[in-house]
Amino acid sequence: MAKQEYIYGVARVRAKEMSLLNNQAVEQLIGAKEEDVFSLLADRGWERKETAEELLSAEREKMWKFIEEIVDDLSVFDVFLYKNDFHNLKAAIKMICGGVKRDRVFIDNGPKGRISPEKILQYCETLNFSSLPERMRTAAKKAYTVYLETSDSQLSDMLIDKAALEAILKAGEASSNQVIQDYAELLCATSNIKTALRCAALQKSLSLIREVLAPCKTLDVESLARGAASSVDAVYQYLEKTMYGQAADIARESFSAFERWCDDFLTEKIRFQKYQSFSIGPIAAYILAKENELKTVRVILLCKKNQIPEEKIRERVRAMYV
Amino acid sequence: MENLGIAFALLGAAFAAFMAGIGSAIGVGKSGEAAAGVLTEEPTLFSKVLILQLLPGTQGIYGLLIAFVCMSQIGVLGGDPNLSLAKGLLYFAACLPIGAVGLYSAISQGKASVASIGLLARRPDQFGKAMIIPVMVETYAILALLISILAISGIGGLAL
Repeated sequence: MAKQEYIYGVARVRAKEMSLLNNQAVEQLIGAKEEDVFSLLADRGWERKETAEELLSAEREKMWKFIEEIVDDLSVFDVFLYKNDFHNLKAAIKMICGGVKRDRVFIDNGPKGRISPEKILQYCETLNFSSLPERMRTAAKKAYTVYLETSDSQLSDMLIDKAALEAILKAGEASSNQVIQDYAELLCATSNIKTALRCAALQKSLSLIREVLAPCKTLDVESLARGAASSVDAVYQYLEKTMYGQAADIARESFSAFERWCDDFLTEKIRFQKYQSFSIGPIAAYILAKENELKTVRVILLCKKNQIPEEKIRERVRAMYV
Repeated sequence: MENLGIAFALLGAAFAAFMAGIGSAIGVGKSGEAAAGVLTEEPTLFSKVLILQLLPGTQGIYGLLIAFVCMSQIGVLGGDPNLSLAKGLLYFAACLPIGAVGLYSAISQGKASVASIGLLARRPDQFGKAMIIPVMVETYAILALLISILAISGIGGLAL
């Protein structure tokens, strides 16, 4: 079968990329006052909103509407959409087992998942886990049982996170596109690193760490789990032997610096998509670039709200795609 | 059997128009998709994008030209349509370059045009460079056209 081409979609993305924030625009936002950040963004075509959350949510919704226009079948972007399903599953289990209120716990606007939050909630409430998509069934049942038996919401979340990573990795492997494959692998590896560091800091047991790490190609999760069961330094020592060696040095400085490194690493990997014209790659790269932009704007707005000096904000913003 | 000469010659003319036409249709179609994509976001680029979209269309015109000249030479459009088998085969061979090269060059030029339309979307001021890149592919269609014309013109004078 002939490989599908996305000429129309890529051409629209090419034109749309011009409205993404570049490094100079980010520098301008950093130098502006909090209220002026909203005006500057409005000048670049962002909607006028009162709060940062409303602004980012509206922009994300706009981005996904655009993607729906240019791609007939959104299943090619399962790697980006699955995390919303699993987020909604975590929220549903917390609502049922922990009595958390429904207000704003679900992601049901903009980047919709592959199954509606209402259905997830309904299946969990009725303990009808078998009606959930296959990728969610086992994790939902396990997380629900763990939450009820131990009241450990963190462990319940970790189990769902692992299932999410496994589903994303599987969707990435099923894709023929390099960007989607790289994204799935990188997301899985960096999430494993974050989980391992968190478990090491909380001195969790080896059996539990094994339970929550998702196997991926670029990390040996058994070695990572053994390191995490030993100490934070042991995790760093293991990472130094992998392709994430640079990340280990950065994670030693601070966790937020490590998160920034993960985003910058991905941006660097997708940069060559600017020169592709036919595959789904440039569209996937646009989604990632837009998410990166939203993260950067969130960081700037949060820092502005907390009156953090410009120099500190500069350390936290991500490298831009354009 | 005595009519095989004209049959081969006409087959050659049809091949030239058919193959080059298919190539151009694919090329213009691909670049048209890219053009529509860019114009959805940037309607002001219409005139520049239209030129890039039309570049792969020339091979179809070359194929038509060769088919027309060939048909006129063999007497299909008027005159004496009696041709020897050898001459018929020669006309067929003369039409092959523009047919085959027209097909492949139009598709390749279409791809180059798509890339150039993407370039134009990002840098509208670089229209000149964006146009030169797909135009390079045209060279090979022109060379094939030249060979087909020279061959068709030469066959008429041969005593076969």
